[in-house]
Amino acid sequence: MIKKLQGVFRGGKNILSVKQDDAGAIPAEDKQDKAVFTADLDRNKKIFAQRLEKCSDIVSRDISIAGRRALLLYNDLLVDKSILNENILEICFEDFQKDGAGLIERLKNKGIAIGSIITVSGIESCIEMLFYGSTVIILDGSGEALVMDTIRWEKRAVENPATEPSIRGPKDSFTEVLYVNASLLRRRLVTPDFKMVDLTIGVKSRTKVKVCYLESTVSPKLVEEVLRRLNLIDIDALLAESYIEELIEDEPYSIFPTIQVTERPDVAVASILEGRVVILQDNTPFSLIMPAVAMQFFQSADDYYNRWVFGTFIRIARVAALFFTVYLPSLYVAVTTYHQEMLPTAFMISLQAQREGVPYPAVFEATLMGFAFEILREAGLRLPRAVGQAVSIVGALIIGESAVRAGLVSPAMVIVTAVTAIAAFTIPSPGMYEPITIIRLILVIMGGIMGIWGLLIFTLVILGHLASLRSFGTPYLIPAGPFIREDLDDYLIRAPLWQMKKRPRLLAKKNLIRQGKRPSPLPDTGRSGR
Amino acid sequence: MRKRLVFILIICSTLFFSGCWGRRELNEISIITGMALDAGRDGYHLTIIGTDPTKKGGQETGGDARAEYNLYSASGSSTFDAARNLTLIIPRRNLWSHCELIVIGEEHARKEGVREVLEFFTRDHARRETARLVVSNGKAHDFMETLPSMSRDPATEVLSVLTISKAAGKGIQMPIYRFLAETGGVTGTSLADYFTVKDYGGPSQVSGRGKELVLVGAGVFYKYRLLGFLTPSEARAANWLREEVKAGVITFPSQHDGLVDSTMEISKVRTKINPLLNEEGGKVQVSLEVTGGIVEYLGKEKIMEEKVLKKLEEACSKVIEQEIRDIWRKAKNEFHTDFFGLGDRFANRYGFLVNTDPEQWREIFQILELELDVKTVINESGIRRESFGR
Repeated sequence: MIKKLQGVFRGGKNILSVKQDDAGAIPAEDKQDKAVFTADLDRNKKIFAQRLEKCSDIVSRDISIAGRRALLLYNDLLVDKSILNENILEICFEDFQKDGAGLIERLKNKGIAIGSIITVSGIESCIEMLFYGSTVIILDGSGEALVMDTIRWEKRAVENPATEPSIRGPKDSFTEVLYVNASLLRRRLVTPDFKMVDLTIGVKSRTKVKVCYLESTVSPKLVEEVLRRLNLIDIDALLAESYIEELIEDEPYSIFPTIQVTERPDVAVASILEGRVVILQDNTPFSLIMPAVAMQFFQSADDYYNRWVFGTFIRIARVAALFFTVYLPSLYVAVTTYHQEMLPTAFMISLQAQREGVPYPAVFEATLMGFAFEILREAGLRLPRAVGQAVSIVGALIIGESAVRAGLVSPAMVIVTAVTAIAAFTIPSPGMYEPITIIRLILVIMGGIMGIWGLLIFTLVILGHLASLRSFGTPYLIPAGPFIREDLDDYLIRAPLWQMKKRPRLLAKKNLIRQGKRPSPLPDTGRSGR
Repeated sequence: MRKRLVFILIICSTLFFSGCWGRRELNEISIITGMALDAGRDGYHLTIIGTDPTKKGGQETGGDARAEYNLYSASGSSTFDAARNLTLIIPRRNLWSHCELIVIGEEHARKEGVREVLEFFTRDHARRETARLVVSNGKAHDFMETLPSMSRDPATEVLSVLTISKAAGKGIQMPIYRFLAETGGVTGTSLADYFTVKDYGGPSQVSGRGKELVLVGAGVFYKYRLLGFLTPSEARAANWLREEVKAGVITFPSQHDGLVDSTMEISKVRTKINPLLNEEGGKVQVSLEVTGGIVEYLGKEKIMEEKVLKKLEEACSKVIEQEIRDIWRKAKNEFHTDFFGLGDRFANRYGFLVNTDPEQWREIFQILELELDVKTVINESGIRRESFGR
């Protein structure tokens, strides 16, 4: 019965709902909802009064419909008043035939002009819907409540992606509203093959979560595993997507993210098409993509929107930038304190002249500058925009100019720090910035203790760790390790779109073929033109 | 248990952190770019050129431009001893890995030889075998005192001159690993560039005037000891047989009157050296093919004509041949040594010669014959077809 209701409810929503603010956040009736309505209105009323005591946003009102007593309940904060007034109250106050039998059915199917309207018998689920913004009518003598979707809340418009901007390609990004986000995905995948599974997580927050995937492509085990982990979450509230990320990721102690976060619907859809699972969560403008492997964090949407030659070039440049940002400070430290023979003489002499008068070792200098930069970055991030500018000026002047003049820092170190910082910003995914910063700091210290040998040791440790990581069963370093030759078309190079005929091997075994032949032009018959 | 684990960790960590031991901050070292060695009162007199970064930090405030390098000297009963005695004067640790020049005073090279300094330079891992060996006229430390004209320090100046001298084909450029290989070979002979300080007069503030470091030929070493010198053109002549001429200029007379009126710039040299032993002794078949272009021509003929071209080529070949025959004679009669490295070529061909004693090779060298075949190809005449002023 409940299942059937759900189906009707859903179907009604998807096809009939025309309201713009249609959020349809009415949850499915809880199976464990033991307390049910009775025919006695006064008793029902009493239960509500008890349960909703001191919930000032709930408005409870006695009305009479067709001569029968009824209780109207709605949430003052989340209800669309115009719908309430015009589509519900006006109808209710009309004079119905004084025939009590089947009134509730008539109201539901003929009377009230609202797309989504169901009858609910469980009290708890009714209360939950109330808090989502539904309007509830309980008739005297009826064991069921009429729940109408009247939701309207404040929300942000769909804006440009702030953390992953692109030059070409779509400019929309997710918002805090789950159903807007889901609609952004649905508009891109107009097929019943694209599934969204609803979950509610959080004892107090009752946060809606959607698990999205392409049924024909995704590995069923992956979906099963994602759902299993989500169902195991037992927490009071989910405030941001990072909660789910941290709770279900494979390696909770690793510094590397094994779940990708994106605010771009196109990135999410691309992942879904590759056979990944995307989790949308209410109240956050970010979605989670899993499994996530290392290479994903170094690819940006622009790689695919630019022509492939440039996309490839940029990817290689990004890898170079990655090496710069990870190794430059530590190499500087290692070479200037241990391996002075490694640089050309003229270069070494120039470095020596710059370091002259700096009162502390190069390791300390590099660590200091690294910290100074992170502090500046953090300060610039947290401060209001107007003050942020002041921070950058102070940073540039004090660190860049005065520190060098005062002989506290060598100019070469300032250059190294600057190059490192700039190179770090080429990493498209914010999730990778954090581990890289930490690795860089450790490398600087290793370089200061052991020179290049130290860098080597730590690099091996990190590589070993990376090789051991898995994200939902997918090795973190694919397609490099394990080596999958066919997947290299979308690794360091970005092959032309018409050549990427297949999906990633490990993820989409079920449905490998992505596209057919290239729609190439017909060969020249020689008759065209003159 | 826990305590023991921590203890073991600490012990192990010393394994990894041992690197701190060898830490050398840039502001605690002086980078040595060149060294000079002379005979001193108590054995060896060492002079080094080290960087002095403190002088650059002054930000050109005053007009008093001090040199960015320093010269320190010390004596000792061996070069290493002298190098350690340097620490009595220098306030910084010496970094030898950038030392790219070894200058040996002429007197020291003749009497003591360079065996000791090469031993000093190659046994310790801190120094590089790519450093160049150079002989200086007079005392090496006087040589180092000459102000460089366009370089950071005298050592860099000498190295730059050596690199540039390739264009004339007259430099030797002897890295010490090659010097050791040649001296340790059958011939026991090697060459090194010979520099001198020349006073050109005029205002010393102008580069190229005043005292300058000049490449004036090559020193011939036999068993690490200096025998004598070759002039720059003789050095070039020797380079023909050493297969070292890559570029250079040949002047030759095109007419029978013998007046030099043509100049050719070498662009390519192909050398074939064939050592042969026979009953009478042995001979060396050398065939040279020198390709180049005319860069100056004072004659009046049309040089693009094949007949004229052939004449020029023959005249040029003759000059080259003469040059080689002269140095061949000089090597045999004056030095009695084979500084062309032919001994090793013979040893390559005839394995039983590998262990020939250099003294013995000197005798064999005396009876060697030279069979020379020089061919010149002139393949361009610059951007002018004919000479003017007919």
